[in-house]
Amino acid sequence: MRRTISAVHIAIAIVMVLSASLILGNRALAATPHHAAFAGGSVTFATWDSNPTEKAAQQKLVANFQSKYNIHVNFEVLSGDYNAQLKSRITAGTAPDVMYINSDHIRDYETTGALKNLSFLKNVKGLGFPSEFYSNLQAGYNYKGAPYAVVKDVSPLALWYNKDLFAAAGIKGPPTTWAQLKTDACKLTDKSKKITGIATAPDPARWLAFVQEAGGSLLNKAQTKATIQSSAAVNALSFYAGLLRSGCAARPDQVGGSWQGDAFGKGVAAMAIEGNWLTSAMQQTYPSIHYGVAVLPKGPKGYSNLAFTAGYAMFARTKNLKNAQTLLEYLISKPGETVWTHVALYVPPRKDVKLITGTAIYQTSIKGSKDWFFPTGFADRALTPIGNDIQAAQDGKMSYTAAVADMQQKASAALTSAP
Amino acid sequence: MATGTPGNVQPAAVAAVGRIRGRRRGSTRVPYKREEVLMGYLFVLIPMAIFIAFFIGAMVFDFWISFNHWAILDTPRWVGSANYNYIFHTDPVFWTAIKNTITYAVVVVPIQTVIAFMLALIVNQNIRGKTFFRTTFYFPSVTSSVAISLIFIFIFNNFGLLNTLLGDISGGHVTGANWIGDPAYALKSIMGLNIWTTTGTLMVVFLAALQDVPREVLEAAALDGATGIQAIVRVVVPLIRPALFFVVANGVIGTLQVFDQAFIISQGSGGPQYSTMTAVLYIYNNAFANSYYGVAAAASFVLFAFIFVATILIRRFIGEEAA
Repeated sequence: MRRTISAVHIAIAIVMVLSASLILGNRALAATPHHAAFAGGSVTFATWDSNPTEKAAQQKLVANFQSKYNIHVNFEVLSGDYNAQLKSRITAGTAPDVMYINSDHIRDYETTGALKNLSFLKNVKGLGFPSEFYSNLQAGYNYKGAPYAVVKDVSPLALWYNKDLFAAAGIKGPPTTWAQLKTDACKLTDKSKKITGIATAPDPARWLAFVQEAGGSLLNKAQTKATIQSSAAVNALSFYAGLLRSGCAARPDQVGGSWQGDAFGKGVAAMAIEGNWLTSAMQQTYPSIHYGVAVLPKGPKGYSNLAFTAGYAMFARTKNLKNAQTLLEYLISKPGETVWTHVALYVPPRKDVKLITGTAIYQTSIKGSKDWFFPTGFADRALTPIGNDIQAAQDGKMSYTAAVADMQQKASAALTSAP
Repeated sequence: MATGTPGNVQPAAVAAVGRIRGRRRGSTRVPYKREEVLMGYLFVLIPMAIFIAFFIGAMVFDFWISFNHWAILDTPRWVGSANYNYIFHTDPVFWTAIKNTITYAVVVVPIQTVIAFMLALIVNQNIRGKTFFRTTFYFPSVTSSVAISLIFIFIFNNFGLLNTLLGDISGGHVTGANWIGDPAYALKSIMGLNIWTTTGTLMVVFLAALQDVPREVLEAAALDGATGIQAIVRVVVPLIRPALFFVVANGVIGTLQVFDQAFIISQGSGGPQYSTMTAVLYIYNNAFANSYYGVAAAASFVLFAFIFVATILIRRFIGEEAA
């Protein structure tokens, strides 16, 4: 009997020690981020996972900021599904103080009060916000007249072409019209060498540029209605998917590439339509490819493009308000934007930041381009089904008109928030 | 096993099987002391608290959310059965996901069970280098499924290892399919990859059960004139029935919940053309990509019902006890 009771005591003691250590351990962990070396405290800054060049630029920004303001930056890379992670952390109240937000998802955050109203930036002297920023790039990040994020860079699409393959096929320069694009793609395709003329992923983020060049659009200007059902979209689809049907184009996976840029870099696609995020991959992963970058070929209704941007935002319930403001001000300032765009090779959103050599073509391409903003939840719900329709049209499993009609239905459904 | 139809197996072996079963059944219940009961509860206190909070609690919350519209950043809004309506009547992708998942389970479970059993029989023999084979067969199971999926992306690539091998072996006559890019092959490729991965684990379960089969029963069967296959089908399989139940039930539960391979190979989209959209991937996408947490919760309850019914059916057909 005595032995049993003492065993019970031991068990109770174990339980108590365990729970005590759990509680204390948590406290100790929560207390660690305070770095003694930084008098100004700390701030959390989160980005999505990106290529080594972008990472180098982010690290340089963090290092410069830390030494200038004596504030420690807890730099976090949310690898994997960025928005899923960010949303769950916002719900839990543990979101990073300052973070990246992509244009296609910002409405999800703005409309639910997850982000801080950044109007205070307008009063920061010498910051140049918003006067130094291109207003067309910043516009999408404003909600009900107030900024909820600040645009950090812009990348439109361009036509990447393999100079060696062009020379071998006897083609002088990059195509400037749709008709030329098709002729060149067919000339460049060499089935025996497993080379395709152009890599055409069934991706609305590429194909919609063609829709615009044919005079169509996915949504109306107010983004309340789907407008994809049009002869322009059918034209654009019959051109884009028709390239593959006629054997002059291939999806990246059909030529052994994981994405268009990969197929282009491996030299199995003579052309690809990508943005300048491909630049660093070409330099580091595929240095042997001689390539040129040209503006997109003109469509029946002239020239258009898609401008992809991302921005810096602040968590509405941040516990480090002062440090978060300091960090945000640094990131969007002229020195901050200079570091970012010069190391990462992007087009700056500020007029007073010098354009880095080789990026002029992207700046020209911004003119006449449409930005990549969507209503809450739309990007996730609509873009995959639209991509599936493009692929079905490429494979001849769906007629061009049927595919476009299906896109209209999917896009309309995605606009109305189901259940 | 019906004792009335012993077939070619003579009664001696049948009686031996019966004896073994009888031995396993006998356990007598001794009442516990109060202190022992208290101790037992104390020891399971923390795990139970975690289990109740994170499993039972999460399930109750999930059930409640399945009747709400919730985009995680807003507050849940009661919508009644609208989420269930949505998955059953509005969204065709749900049925594609269910169809893919059931196809997957129906193909993968029998194949992996049979292969695992055969591998276990092989490595249970006294052959040279059996430790090497045991390790080799088990190796895929201890490797992370994410790593395996990434490797298989390279193997299944249109110009990857598999197609290059096919071309070289056939002297260029065979061009393999675009395994993960073609909707007709994508799910089949994932099936193959999963069978390869899980067979090793199941083999270990069978192997443990096989080593538990008493030699005298097999000897008795041999004396009675049973051939090798007869001995396996009529003596070994009935004796390892608990292991068989474990393998099939876990196989069905695991395959109905297939996620990571499909997620990685399709880069989360369930593509091409929803051909690799599985039930759990559907749930994941609706929750974390579409922000339809109510729809995801409803779908997970439907999946739960499927798995529950499937498990009961397996129990009825195979039976957990060696009865």
